[in-house]
Amino acid sequence: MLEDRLLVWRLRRGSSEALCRIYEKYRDDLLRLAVSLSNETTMAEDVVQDVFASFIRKARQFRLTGSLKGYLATCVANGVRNANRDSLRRRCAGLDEAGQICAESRRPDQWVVLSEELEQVARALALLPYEQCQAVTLRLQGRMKFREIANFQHVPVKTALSRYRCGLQKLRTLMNGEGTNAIAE
Amino acid sequence: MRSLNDIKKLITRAKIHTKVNVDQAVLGHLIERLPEMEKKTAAARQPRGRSTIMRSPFMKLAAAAAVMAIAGIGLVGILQNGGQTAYAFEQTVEAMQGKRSFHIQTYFQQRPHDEFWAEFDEEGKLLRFRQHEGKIPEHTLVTIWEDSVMNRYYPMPLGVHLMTHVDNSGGGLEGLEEFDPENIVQEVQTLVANGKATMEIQEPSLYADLMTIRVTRTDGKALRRVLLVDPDTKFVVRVDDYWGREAEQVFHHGTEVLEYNKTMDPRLFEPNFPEGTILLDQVTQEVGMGQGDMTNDEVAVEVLRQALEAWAQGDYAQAGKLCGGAPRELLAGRFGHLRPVRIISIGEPQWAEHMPRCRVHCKYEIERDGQTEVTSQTFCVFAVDGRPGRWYVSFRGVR
Repeated sequence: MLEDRLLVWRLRRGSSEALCRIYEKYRDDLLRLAVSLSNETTMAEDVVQDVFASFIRKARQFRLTGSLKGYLATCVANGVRNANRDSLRRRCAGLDEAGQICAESRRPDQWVVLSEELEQVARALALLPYEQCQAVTLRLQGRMKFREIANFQHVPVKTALSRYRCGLQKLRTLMNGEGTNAIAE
Repeated sequence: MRSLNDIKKLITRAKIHTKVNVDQAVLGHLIERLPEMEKKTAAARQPRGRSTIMRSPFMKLAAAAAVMAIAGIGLVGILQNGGQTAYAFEQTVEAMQGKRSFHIQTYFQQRPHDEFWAEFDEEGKLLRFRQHEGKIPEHTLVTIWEDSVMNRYYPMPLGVHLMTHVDNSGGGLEGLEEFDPENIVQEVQTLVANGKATMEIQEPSLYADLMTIRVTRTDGKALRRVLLVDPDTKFVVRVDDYWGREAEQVFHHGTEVLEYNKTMDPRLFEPNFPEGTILLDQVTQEVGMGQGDMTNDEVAVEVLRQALEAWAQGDYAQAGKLCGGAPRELLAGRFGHLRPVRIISIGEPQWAEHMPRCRVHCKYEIERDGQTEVTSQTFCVFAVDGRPGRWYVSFRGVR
């Protein structure tokens, strides 16, 4: 926490070393969070890069009041939500997928490589209702408090908690190979 | 059987790796952006400045003198302007009637979003449009629509040109009417006429060449709209909408009118995309599979089954057709080293809300470099745009 405050202070004075440290410290966590929320590596890479770029741009006005990781995680979750909204807005969203027939196999400029476990987790999370997926990933990967998740989702804390629990139960069912019917419930 | 704790651990500890060269490139790019760090906004500094000024008796006098001077300049301006006819918003509504073309840039939260070029016929019906989405030129998603055919270019790393049927019989293609400057001014006029909004007009001053029109909703909706009008042409040149009551939660959406009723270069509407772009043509060839008497669930499963079988037999032409028009050579190159041997199970389709698309889980045996292994994959099945009753499957994610 203290280190983060110092890093932000130095970044605001234009220190590239501070930027490198923040980037190295949180890059993997943010990418993992973005992949879990979006189930798309390309989107996740774009969102995380945008979050860092925007963080740099706004660094002078930024005041760290909580955890830096929590702040960046919220930015990533917002970024994924906006990116999802954008792709929905392009009414031919299905066609995006058609385009990706030729893209999702490894790209030469691909930034992230997912472990098998993460691929499995992201696939299972993608089958959950989005709010539940968000609650589970923000809690377990973003290390956010339920109060913070509730604020993010604009719901009472109890709702965030129940989304988290329900999501976890469904994930358990899915990952134990008990079929996908539970998702429809 | 995994316990809840195992699942939590798996989610918490699942690893991600990054490629060192790309990682360094991204970091390098971010470091380059350090000088772009924004300075504190004037708005953020304002309160402190004001309180400091007003604590000093000398500064109080100076501030009062400055206010009087500004008031004096304003009075001179009013007197100088006295001979001119007062502006009325109706002049803008009238000037903007009979729209034939516009070129606009949209903004979201003050950042550039989309750029549109659109042409209309004499009745105001959309003839064709071009849209750019994205901040970086080489990564811009380009959409061109004309005669019910949509050409969409997905930039690298996809490098795909998708050609589909998209009808605009209902109007409002791509939500374009939302940004139409003619519609916007007419909407403002109607709102004010119906007493649902108030309008405040600020004439050009020494400090601003454009007229500023502030529209505030009075019917409970938290919208403030600010229009800038060119005093000569009376055209609206910029519209900014601010939604929300709380200062921290205001959403901004802006439209800058770059050209209005100007002749456009016809080449703008030609789908000329970079060399090497892969064409997925869903217009001049029939793609996907017909639904016939099958239910949506049945057709989703069947199109997947047939595509896997075609792939298994090395019939990439048929597989490409069922994959939405993917070129034969592309599939052969991409999946030639793999061959599905046997479908073990196909799950029930999971449909998306409000969209004709679903995910279908499939477990099958695949031969990879002479070795057979069991693999599980979730495929996406989509309705073919503009071709009711036809469906195709995406092989996205197959490795």
